[in-house]
Amino acid sequence: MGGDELDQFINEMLDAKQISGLTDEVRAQLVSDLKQRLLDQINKALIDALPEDKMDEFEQLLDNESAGDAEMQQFIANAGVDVKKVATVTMLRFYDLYVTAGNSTPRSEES
Amino acid sequence: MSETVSHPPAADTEPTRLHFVSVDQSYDAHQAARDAANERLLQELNEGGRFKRLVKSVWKGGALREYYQHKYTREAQANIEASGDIHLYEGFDGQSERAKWATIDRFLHENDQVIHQEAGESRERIGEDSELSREIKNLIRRNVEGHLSDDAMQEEKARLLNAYHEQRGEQAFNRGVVQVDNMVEIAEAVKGAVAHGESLDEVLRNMNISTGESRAGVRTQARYNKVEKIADKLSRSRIGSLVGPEVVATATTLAASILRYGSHSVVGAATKTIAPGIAAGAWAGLRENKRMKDERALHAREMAQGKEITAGSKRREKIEQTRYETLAATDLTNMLRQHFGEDTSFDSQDAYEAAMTALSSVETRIRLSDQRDIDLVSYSDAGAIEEERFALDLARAEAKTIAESRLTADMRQQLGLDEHISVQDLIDQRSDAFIASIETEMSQKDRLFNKIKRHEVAKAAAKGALIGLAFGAITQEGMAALSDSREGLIEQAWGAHDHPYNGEMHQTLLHGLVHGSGGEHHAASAVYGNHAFGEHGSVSFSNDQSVVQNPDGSLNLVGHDGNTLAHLSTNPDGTLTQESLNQLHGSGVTVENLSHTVNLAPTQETHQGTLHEFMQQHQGDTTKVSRDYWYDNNTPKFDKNELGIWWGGHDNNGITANGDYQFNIAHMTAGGSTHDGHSVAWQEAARQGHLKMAISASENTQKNVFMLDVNPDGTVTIPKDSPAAQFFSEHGGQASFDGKYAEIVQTSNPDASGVTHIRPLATEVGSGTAQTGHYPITETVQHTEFRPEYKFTSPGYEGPSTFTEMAPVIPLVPRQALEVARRVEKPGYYYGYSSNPERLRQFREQECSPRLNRDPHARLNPRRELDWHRDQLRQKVGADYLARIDQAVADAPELDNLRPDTKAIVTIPVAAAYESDNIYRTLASYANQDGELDRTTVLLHVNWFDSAASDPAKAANIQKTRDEIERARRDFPQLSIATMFEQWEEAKKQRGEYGEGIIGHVARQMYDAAMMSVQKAMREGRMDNNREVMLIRNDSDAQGIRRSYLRSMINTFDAHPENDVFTGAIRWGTERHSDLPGFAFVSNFREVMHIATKRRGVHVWPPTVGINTAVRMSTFAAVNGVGYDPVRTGIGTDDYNIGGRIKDARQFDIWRVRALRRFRNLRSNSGEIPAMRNQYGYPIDTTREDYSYHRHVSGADIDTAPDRLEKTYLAGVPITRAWDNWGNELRNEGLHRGAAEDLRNNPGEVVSRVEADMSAAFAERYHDRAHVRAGLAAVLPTTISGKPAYTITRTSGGIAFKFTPEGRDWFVNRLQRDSRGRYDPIGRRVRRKLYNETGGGRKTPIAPRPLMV
Repeated sequence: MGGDELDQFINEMLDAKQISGLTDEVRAQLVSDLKQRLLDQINKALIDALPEDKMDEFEQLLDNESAGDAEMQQFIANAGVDVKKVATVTMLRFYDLYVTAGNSTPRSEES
Repeated sequence: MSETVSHPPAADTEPTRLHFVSVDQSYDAHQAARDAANERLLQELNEGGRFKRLVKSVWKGGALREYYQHKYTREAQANIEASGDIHLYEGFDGQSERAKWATIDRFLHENDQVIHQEAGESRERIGEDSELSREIKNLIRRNVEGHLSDDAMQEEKARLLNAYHEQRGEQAFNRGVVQVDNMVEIAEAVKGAVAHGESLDEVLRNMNISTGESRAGVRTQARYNKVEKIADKLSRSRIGSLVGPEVVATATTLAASILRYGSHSVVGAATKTIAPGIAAGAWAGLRENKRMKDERALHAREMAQGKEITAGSKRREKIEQTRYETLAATDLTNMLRQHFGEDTSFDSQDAYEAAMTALSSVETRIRLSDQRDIDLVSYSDAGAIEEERFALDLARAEAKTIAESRLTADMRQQLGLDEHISVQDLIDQRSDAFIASIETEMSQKDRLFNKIKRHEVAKAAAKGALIGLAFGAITQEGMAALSDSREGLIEQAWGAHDHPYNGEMHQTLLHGLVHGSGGEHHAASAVYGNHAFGEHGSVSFSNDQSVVQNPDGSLNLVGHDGNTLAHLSTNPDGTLTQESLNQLHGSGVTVENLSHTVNLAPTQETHQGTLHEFMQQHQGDTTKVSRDYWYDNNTPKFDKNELGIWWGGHDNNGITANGDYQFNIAHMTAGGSTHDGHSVAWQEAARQGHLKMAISASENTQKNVFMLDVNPDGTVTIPKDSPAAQFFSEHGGQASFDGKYAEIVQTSNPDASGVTHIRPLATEVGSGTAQTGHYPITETVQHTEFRPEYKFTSPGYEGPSTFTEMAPVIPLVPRQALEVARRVEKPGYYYGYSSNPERLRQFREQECSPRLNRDPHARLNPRRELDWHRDQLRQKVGADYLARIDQAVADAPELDNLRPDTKAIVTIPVAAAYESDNIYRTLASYANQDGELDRTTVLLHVNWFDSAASDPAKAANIQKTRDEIERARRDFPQLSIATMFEQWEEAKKQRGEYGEGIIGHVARQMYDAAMMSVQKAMREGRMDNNREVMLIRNDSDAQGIRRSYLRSMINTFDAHPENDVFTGAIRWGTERHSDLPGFAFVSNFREVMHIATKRRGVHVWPPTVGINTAVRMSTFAAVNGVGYDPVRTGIGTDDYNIGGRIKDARQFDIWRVRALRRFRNLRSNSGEIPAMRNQYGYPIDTTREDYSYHRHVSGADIDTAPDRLEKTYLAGVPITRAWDNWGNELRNEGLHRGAAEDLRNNPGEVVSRVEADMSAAFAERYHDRAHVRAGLAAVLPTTISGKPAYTITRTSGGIAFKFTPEGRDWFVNRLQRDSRGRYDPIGRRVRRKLYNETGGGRKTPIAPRPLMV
């Protein structure tokens, strides 16, 4: 899911963090972990941005075994959520927390 | 205690129908964990000084808030799950039990309205044929048949439900992490039914089994709960991402464009810093937005849980304005009872309307709360929610039933109602108005909240931006100071030097703002360097450039940045080629061609030339002459002097020793030279300088001669280096003259034309070969040199490329935390003390000795703990207080010189204005003890208020009390009586300076004086440091004390070093038992219940009552006595605090033990119990599941004044509430002495009082069923002739204890007769047994001496 761009984003983030002494293997794992966390946070932010009256519907969709990523994404977009904005803001916040706040790993995102 | 566990009817009545219910509380557990985490976080954020709070607000309350919130929630969740108690952090032992049973009872109730489905609750009846049903019934069957103990059944049940949950997941019991059920009670009831003849199979077949899921807490939920839930579900689903690849790509591009990390211009870097800075502000705003919502929800929850706003809580007060109005559940319940009570009816339109409106308003509030996750109903306490909610639900259901029954056809007609309309429709009709009203209020509150929120969000955004930027800039400077590749502004203060990073100088934003971007144009340097090239070439160049010579001799002009600007090659003459010049021009270099030719110094060159050339060259050396005449002596032939020129030198060889040529004319005579009358004497002429030798090189040059001096001795020397010497040669050692003429001439001064006229005297004619000879010709040769020279002037250069790094934006915004809400502590707080792990941790860390803290089971050294307590008093209460205690000890000789063998100090508070009639009697009771008086000291804390001292009557009492003490001293010299006195100030009390009461202060002073007297005796070496002393706490109004009291106490104390607390039985005013047999029963039951806390299987904290409590002094010192809280000084702090604090210190891990039990239940397959350690790493004694630090001492009874209990009892109020008005009225205020019950003629009054008292006791105080069973078994039979003696049922108003007719008869009879049926009223029996009072009645054997004195 947008892997190349996100990989690049995470890598730039690691560069900015000036983490040294990582083997390629470890760095790759780190990128993978951080990417997953970032995606989780974007997901959470999107759910948070859902209008109140769409929550239950979304949950039902989630419970629907036949609904896949595309349906979910479509639902979020149709619910009036500015997906790009939410994703961008989440990425910036993720970056900010990781690079500038001095944490070694981003904390769990609040919703 | 539900109807399902009441003793079943006899077999000939309706078959027993039991109902097992298991309620899942996983959801409630999570909510409770969140609440506990929030409370803990708020407490921590509000602790400490201003700076500490500020720092915490930045980290713990800011950036890391969510982390801590999740961490604390996880911890609390783990504890709650382990303990199986959702009220672990809220209630206390008793409360948790009550809440648990309220939940079970609610789910047992037939009325579905008590199940709040709209709030998420559910209840499901399990089919009789289901596997779960069969398994549960099988467990009960095995228990009833004796094959499975209660504990084993519980374990089997836990394993069964666990397996069931694992098999069916949330479809079964939600998450199944916390569940409550009534299995043990059901099994008990089945046993009862079987005992009364029912078939076990029948009872089990008729048994219903239900499962359910509760929502036990308050309703308000922050919306994030739902988000979290969905996000959690999402993470566990197969769904990968909610954003597609194109969104990710766009978002990444956008993010990357914002996150350019710096710029080559300061303005650029600043701009890029400000952008995230503004973003940081925006995030801070967003965060504030969320926090405000969180805090509003949290505040609403806490207020609904009965908490209160602490004074000065500004943030709370602001949010409180936006809280939806809540009505107390108890008020709503009462309101319904008022309208639907037995004495009400719908006999008027107004009454009907009022009742239905009340019912509708309650219904609306409950439903809106459930539907919308808000709280419109509040409760008195978190632990009381279930009970109060259940009571309200029942009242609501009853009201509907009553309304239905009242709305008969006639009534409907009378009220103008449709005959078919249902009660629910009538309620709903009115609901709309209530909904509209509530929604209007909510809307207004929401608007106000939004307004406040906008303001706070804007403030937070601005603060976030500014602080984010400031923090970021400062952080960047700090990083620069540590880095040698980043120029910072601050590091310049100590002259830090940095070097480029990746070819560029990096600077911080602040550095850039002060010093600019760098990279500006620098003019060509005015200083030139030089470089030589070729043979004579040179180039000068601006110092911002350099010239480098290549190996081939060509040059490179190198720019400021090290780049080659031009490659320079030269023409053969050394000038730059045109190509070179073109390159220079192309690089902007100005070239000045300064090439030039220079004259070199001339050189002398000699070559062989002709005579003519020689003569020309030596023209200056010759003299132009003209021969006037010859001194020929006027003869034509040479003779005489004309021949006088001879060779000089050695042997006239013509060569001197120096190699010069030489002639000699000394042979000439003085008069030998004449001509026409002229004569010349050569000697004279030579002396005068007029005689010379003129040498002519040839005939042609004889007018230009080389003139040589003739020395006075006649010699003429031709220096070998002189030009004239060129005309001589040597041949065989003989000089030879090669010129033409060598003439001795007389000279005169040159004429006007410069010609010297000469007159030869003699002539030597040479060979004349000089004419053709070759002569050295020396010429001066002039030289020149061409010098290529250029001047390069650079075009200047751009300054070094400087990269200004954008400052990191650190969005750390200090934020004032929401203040801690105050939990309203009720008297029940003291019962069982705290089971809140966080409070326990604080207590242990802050108030217990290190030894006890490290090891809760430690045996303590008396001296060491007393010393520690003394230090604690000094540090935490103050040196003044300690000095007062020391003075009190010094003023009491009995304490100051405490006997070394002292074993007990009996401490008694004496309210001097009220105890004048009691104190002597009490002291007399001690004076008449059987033994141990020599090892006992009684310490009296005699105190009064100044207001009493100024009241004549009370002042007299005070004096009388003091006099009575002195009388006792005189009368009982065997009794060591120490006293300390204190007068309290009424004004201080009114100002609240004494806190919640005086008794706490009295007790502390008294206990500390006792402990410090022992410490002093040890310190002074009068007492062994290891000596254990017992501190006994009694009251001053004892009616009688067991004669063996001290002996029993001390013996038990010595025999049981493992125990810290010792209590004896309390008898309540036995002399009143004859008149008040009902009171005799209930007061006795109270004490029985106290003693029953020590029964096996009972998990109830045994309280320590001031009337009769003793404590091991070493342990008491190690818990700092009763503490030093300046506010909590009221009821219970003097006595309950003794056992409570020791329980908390000794049984620190009681919740862990519970957790262990639960864990063991779940893991019983393996049978392994994991080792458990406390937070300090010490192993936990998992075998201690009871309050084993406490021991009941038999033979240590005290009969005390019953005033409080008696007046409470007579007022129809349960005696458990006897202390509710403590502090506001005297203990005997309002007591009608002499009141009596007429048991014979009015037994119903006695029975009603007892039933009411027992009901209240079960509802309000006694919640542990094993405890209740044990207590009841001690005072009442379970059955009378096979029929139950009593029933205990839950009602909408609480719990109802009722005697059955059989039980009632038995009870009344037993109050009047002994066990053999003989008339012997209870009061008389007791008095005879304790005091040997026969009262003139039957002759019954009595003890030689009364037990009590």
